[in-house]
Amino acid sequence: MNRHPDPLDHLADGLAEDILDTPAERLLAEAAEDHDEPAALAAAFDRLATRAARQARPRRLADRIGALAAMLAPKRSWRPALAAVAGVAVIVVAGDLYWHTGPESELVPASAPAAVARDAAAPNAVAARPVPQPAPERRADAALAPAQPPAPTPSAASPAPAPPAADQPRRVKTVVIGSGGGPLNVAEAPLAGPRPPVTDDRLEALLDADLVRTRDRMAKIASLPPPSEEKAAGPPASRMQPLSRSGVAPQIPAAQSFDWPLRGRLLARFVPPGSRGANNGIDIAAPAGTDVRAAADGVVIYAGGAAKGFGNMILLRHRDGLVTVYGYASRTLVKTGDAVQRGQVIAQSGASGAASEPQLHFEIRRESLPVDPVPLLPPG
Amino acid sequence: MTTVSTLGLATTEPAAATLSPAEAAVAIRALTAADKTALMKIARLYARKTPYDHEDLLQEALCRVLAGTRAWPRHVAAVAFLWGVVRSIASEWKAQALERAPDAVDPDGEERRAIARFDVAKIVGLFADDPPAQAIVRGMLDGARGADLQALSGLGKIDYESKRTKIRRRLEKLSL
Repeated sequence: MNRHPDPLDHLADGLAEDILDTPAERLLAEAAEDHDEPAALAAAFDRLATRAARQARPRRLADRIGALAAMLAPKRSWRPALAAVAGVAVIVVAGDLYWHTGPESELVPASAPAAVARDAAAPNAVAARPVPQPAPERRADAALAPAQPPAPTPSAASPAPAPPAADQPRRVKTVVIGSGGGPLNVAEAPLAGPRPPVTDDRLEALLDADLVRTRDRMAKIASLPPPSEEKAAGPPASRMQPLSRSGVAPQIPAAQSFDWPLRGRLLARFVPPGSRGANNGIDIAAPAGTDVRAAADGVVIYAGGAAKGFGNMILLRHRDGLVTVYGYASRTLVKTGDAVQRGQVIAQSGASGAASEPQLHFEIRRESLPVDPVPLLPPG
Repeated sequence: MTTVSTLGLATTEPAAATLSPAEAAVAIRALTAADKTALMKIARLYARKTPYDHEDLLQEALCRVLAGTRAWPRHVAAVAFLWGVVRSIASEWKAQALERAPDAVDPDGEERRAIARFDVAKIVGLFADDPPAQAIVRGMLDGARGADLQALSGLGKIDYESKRTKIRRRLEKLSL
């Protein structure tokens, strides 16, 4: 701060100059005159110097710590830490994908939505992906149709996807869905190779891998030219329904209808995968413990709490390769393999998983792709 | 010269131009009794109008030098350097005292100048019985130095120096 010069400062400067110009003997004599001891002021100075030395040590240390902090300050950015975390996350995800996209990755459980009928051109005979299934589930599936004729092999089951490579021991599960609303007809064609058991953890990983594959497929579909003939012939596809691999929205058979699993305020609508804020289904508010009912007749293909985010979840497989998903349940009341009737209570709503309030997450999937459930549900 | 601090950090400092704290400590210990006496007197001069006394002022000056926060140019003599440090800290303290004043006296304001005029008038009045001394004091308050002051007093060199010593001693005893 610049201040006007103080006359007293000028005077002090002048007097200080005089002091410095004064001979040493004269100064000491003045000290003796003022303090009765020539070295009185010098002794006082030494005392002050000793105190000052004691004070200077911690001050020096503090200054150096300050300098150290100043040196380190630019390095305290969160960017390197975030980059490291992101790198680790990428490695984990990539490793997980690698692990689950090898031969094992194809072992998506028939119980998962992705494993349900995949080819719209052959809705009655679909070769699902090979599946490692727990023994109880297999027994339950088999028990569904004990009196059915022998199960067709993949080759006999009409246009099925190409069989897996010979060097990949697999177990292909062929699901034959009866036409005209008949009962589900499930048979298995075992291939060589052991079948690892499906655990909840493994199912969770497989579901995640299925989601990644679904996104990849969506990206490929988006790059295909639009089949103008099909668009012209069919009804305009709902904007909210994702396209199937054929380039059109998955068509839901007219014969298949669904009921609301429960009634409540719609918290979140369907937003197609790949869109901002994607939501594969709808979220319906419901007090905890509200009955969740099967939207249609079907078979429980999964009931558990291993899927990420959805807490206690139930997957029901219905006719025509459709799967319904019920998430965030507080309690599941059915088990894998159970045959359920439309309107049957299968769970109680809750806020498990990532839910912030009691609600039901409800999805309808076809060809492993989620579709907007609302147009398929009764109005009102 | 590169030195390694106690924290293990290599720092480069212009050691050729300034004394290190250790060197400053040696230089202070080497002061004579007359040097120390002079510095005590100088501290008393500058401690006026500060919130602290002259011992606090000199101790703070020594502390800053020993802590290394005041760079001591190698070519500057110890007493002259410490005088400058004392003067600087006193000025800093006076400015802080003015800023903290409840009535927030403007350092450049009329009120402050009036107070200074009052102090000046009081000091000048001390030498009303000695016109040459009064002339010298007036000149010193106005910032005059050396030959100019001697010319203002109208005294010869020896009488002038004797008169200045008398002025200084009188002001020291009055603690003004």
